[in-house]
Amino acid sequence: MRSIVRVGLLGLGMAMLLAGCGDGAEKSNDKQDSKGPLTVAVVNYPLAYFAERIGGDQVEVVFPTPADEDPAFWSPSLETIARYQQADLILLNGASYAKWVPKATLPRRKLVDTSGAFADRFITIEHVVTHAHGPGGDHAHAGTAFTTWLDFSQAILQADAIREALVGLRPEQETLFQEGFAALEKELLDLDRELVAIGKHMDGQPLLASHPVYQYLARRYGLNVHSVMWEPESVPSASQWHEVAQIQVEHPARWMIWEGTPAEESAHRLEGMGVSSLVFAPCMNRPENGDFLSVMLANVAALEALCR
Amino acid sequence: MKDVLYLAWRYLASHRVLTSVLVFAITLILFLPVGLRVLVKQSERELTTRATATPLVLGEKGSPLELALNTLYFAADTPPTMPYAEFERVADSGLALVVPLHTRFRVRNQPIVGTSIDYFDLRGLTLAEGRQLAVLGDCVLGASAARKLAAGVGDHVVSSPENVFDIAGIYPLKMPVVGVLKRSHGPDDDAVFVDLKSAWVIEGLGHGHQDLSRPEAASGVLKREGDTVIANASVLQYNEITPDNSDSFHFHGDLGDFPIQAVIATPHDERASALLQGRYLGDDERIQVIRPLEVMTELLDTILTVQTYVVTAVVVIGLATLSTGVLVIVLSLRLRKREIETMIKIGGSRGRVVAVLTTEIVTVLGLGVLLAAGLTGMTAAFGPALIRILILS
Amino acid sequence: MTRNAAAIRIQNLDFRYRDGAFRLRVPEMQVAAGETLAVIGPSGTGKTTLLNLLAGVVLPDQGSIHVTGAEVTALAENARRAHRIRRIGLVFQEFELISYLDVTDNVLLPYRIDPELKLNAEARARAAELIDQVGLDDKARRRVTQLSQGERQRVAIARALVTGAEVILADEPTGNLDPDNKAKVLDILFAQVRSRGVTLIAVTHDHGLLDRFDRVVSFDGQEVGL
Repeated sequence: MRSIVRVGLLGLGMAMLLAGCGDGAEKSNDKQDSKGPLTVAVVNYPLAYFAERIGGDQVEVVFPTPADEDPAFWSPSLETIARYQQADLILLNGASYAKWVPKATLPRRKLVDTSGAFADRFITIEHVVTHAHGPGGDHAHAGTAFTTWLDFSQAILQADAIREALVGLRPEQETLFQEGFAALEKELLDLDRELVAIGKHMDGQPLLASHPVYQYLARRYGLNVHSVMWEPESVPSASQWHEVAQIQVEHPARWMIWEGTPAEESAHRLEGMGVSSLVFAPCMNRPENGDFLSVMLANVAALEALCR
Repeated sequence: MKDVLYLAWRYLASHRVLTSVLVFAITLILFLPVGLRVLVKQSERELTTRATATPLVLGEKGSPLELALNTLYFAADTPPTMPYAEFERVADSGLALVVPLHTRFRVRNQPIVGTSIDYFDLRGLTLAEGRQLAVLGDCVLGASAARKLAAGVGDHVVSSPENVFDIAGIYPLKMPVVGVLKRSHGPDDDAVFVDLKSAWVIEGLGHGHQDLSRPEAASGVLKREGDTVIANASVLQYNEITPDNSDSFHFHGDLGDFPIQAVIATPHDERASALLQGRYLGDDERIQVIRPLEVMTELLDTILTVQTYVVTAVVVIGLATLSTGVLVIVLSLRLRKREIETMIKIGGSRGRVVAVLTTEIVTVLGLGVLLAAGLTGMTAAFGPALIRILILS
Repeated sequence: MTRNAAAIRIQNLDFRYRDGAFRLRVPEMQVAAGETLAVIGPSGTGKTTLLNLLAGVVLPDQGSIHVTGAEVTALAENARRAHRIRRIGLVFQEFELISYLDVTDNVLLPYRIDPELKLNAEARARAAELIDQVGLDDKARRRVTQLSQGERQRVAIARALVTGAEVILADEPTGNLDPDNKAKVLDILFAQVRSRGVTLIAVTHDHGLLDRFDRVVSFDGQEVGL
C-alpha cells in the first residue's frame, strides 16, 4: 500500500505551470533622481551667462565650445554630443544658431528654444545661395540672423524662457530662480534703455558694421547699419576696400562697428576714409576678461561715445 | 519500490506502441487547453504590456488597429503619414512627452525606425555595446536586428529600396552602426533605429551633394543666375553621411510638412491627456488619437472569444480521448488477467501487483504530464514571437 | 524408501464449491518430505482443487492442512500467500510465464512480487545456478516468448525453486509438451527435486510417467483415502 502511495505522489507531483520566459527587458537606466545641481548644456555664452545668473548654485552650466571657436559654426565631437544628451536641460538659442544642432540627435524633451517667444520676428538674411536641381524647382537655403540677444528686450525673453525651464525641473527653487532672473532682467532693461536713448540720439546716422551680426541691435535701437564681411584680425582685400568706398557713396558712415579690436592697418586706413572704429562685441563666446554684462556695458559705452 | 518500477517499466517498454499512443493522447488532452490558455495569457501580456507603456498615439485618421500595430510592432503595412508639424504642435503644447515615429523603410526585413532619442527612455532600452545616436546617419540596432543583419558596432547597413524598380530616387543610405541594444524581448529587438532626420534622408527629402560653388562641381552646374545655381542631374549626391560630407546635407522645404507615421504621447497627467484627446475630436480633423491599450484590449476580446470556443471543443475532444484511454487501459488489464492471476497464485502480494499496475498507469500519466509541461514551457518561451507572427503577419 | 517426516498432512478435509456442485473430501493424507506423489484421475474429480488447497489459494470448509510444518488452514490470507511464495513452488500446464520478461526476470519474479523477499546477490546467484541447471544459461537474457515450450517449462521449474521451496505442486507439468520435451522436462524436474529433497506432488493424465513417482494416488470419486 505504501508503495502505491509513493508511486502516486511521484507521478502526480509534476508541475504543469512553467512560467514563460518572462519579460526580461531591462528598464531604462535613467539618471538617478538626484538633488545635486542641474546640468544645463548651452550652445553659446550669453545663454551660459543667463543660466548661471538665474540658476545660481542649482545649476552646473556646460558650455564646451573652445574659447577660440565661433559657437555658431563649431562642430562638437561625438563625446561632446553625448554630454549634451546627458544634460538635464539643453538651451538652444534658436534662429538657426549652432549649425551642428539640426544634424545632431538631441532629446526633444530636454531642449529649450529660448527664442521661441519671438520666432515670428526673426530677421531673414537676404542674398543667400540658392540652387535648383531635379524636378523640385528652385529652393533657397534661408538665412536667419541669429544674434538675438543683442536686442536686450529679446535677451530678457530668452532669459525668461530659461527661468521657466529651470522652474519646470526644480519647482521648489522657483523663488531662487525668480530672484536671479529679476536681477538679470533689471540689468538687461538698463542696457536696453540706454541703447534706446543712444539710438534716438543717433537719429539714423549711417553706420558700417564689419560683419552681419548686428541685425537685431539695429532693428531694436533704430541704428542705420550697413554690413560688410570683414574680420577684425584680417586686413581687408582691395576689393573689400573698394566695396566700402562704394557703400560710402550712398551710406556716408563715419563709424564702423567691429566684433573685436580691428587690425591697426584696417583701423588706420578707415580713419583715412573718415571712418572711425569702435568695438561692439557680440560676446558669443566666453570673454577673456569680464563677463557678458561687463562686455555689454563696454559696448554701450563705446556707442555712447558717438553721441558726444 | 525498485521492483515495482522495474516491472512497470518492463511492461511499458515491451508495449512501446501502446505506451506511446497513450502518452501522446494524455499529452494532447493536457497540453491543448493549458497551452492554449498560456498562449492566450501570453497574448494578453504581449499585447497589453507594450500598449500600456504607450498611453496615446496620434496618426492620420484611419484604422486604429493598423495605427496601433504599426506603432507598437512596426508592422509591415505602413499607415498613412501625418505632417511633422503635428508632432511639434503637441510638443509645444506642453501637455505630453512626445516621440515621433517614421517606419516606412527597411534594412532587408528589419524595420528602420526613425525617431528621437527620447524613444529609448520611453521603452527602457539600454545599450549593450557602442554608443547612442549622435549625428545624422547613425544607426543603433536592436539585439535581434544585429544578429540577423550580422552587423555590429563599426559595421554598416544599407537601407533597402522599396521595390526592385525603385528608380524614382529613394537612394539606399549606407549607415554606420554605432550601437547595439540589449535584448528587450520585444519588437524593438528587430529594429534599426535612426534619427528621424536620417529617415527623411532615406526618403529623399534631405540630401548631401558636392558644393556647387566649387570648381570640382562645375560639370554639375547647368547655369548660374546671380546667386542662384541651377544644377543638372549629374551632380554627385552622397549615399553615405560621413564626417567629411555631413555639412553638405540639408533639407528642402518646410520640415513641418515632412512625413511621419505616428506620434507617441505620454501626457503629464489625466487632465493633459483629456485636453490632448479633446483637440482631435472634430469630424473634420485629419488626425486621430488612439489609446493603444483600448485597441489591443478589443483585439484580445476577439482572441478570448475564439479561445472559449476552441477550449470548449478541446475539452470535449479531450474527454472523449480520455474515455478512450481509460477503455484501453481497462481492456489491457482484462487481457492481462491471466498474468495477474499467475502472480497472485505463485504467492505474489496483491498490494505489489496493484502497485505495479498503478505504476504503469501513473508512469504513462506522468510522461504525458511531463511532455505536456514541456510543450507548455515551449509555448511560454516562444509564445510572444508566435503571437507576433500570427497576429501581425 | 525411508519415510521422512511428513511434509504434507491433511486431516478431515471437506471442501465444497459455493454452488455446491462439487465436493472434495480427504479424511487423511500424508506425504513425506522428499516424496514424489502422482495424482491421477478423471477430470472434475478435484485434483487441481487439491493442489489449490495445499497451496493455500483456497480454504476448505472443514479440516486442516499442514504444509512444511505450517498449518495453512489456520493462516490469514497474507500469511498463506507469504508461506506459499517461500515454501511452495507452482508449475502449471500452460507454464504461466510473464511474456514481457526474459528468462532471468521470470525466474526472479517471486522476489519482485513479495515485499519481504529481498532480491539480493544471493538470490541472483541462486537464480543463475538454477537457470544453468535447467540448461538455459545461454538463454538467460532471452525473452521467454522466444523459447520452445519445453524450455519455457524449464523456466517455470526454475522459478518454482528459486526461493528455496520445499514443496513443488505441479499441475499437468508435461501436458502441453511433445514426447521429447516431456521426457527432458521430467528429467530436469525430478533431478531438481531429488537433489534438493523437495516434495513433489504432480497432477498428471499421462500414465506413462507414473513409474517415476514414489507413489500414485487415484482420484476416482469425491472421497480420497490414503
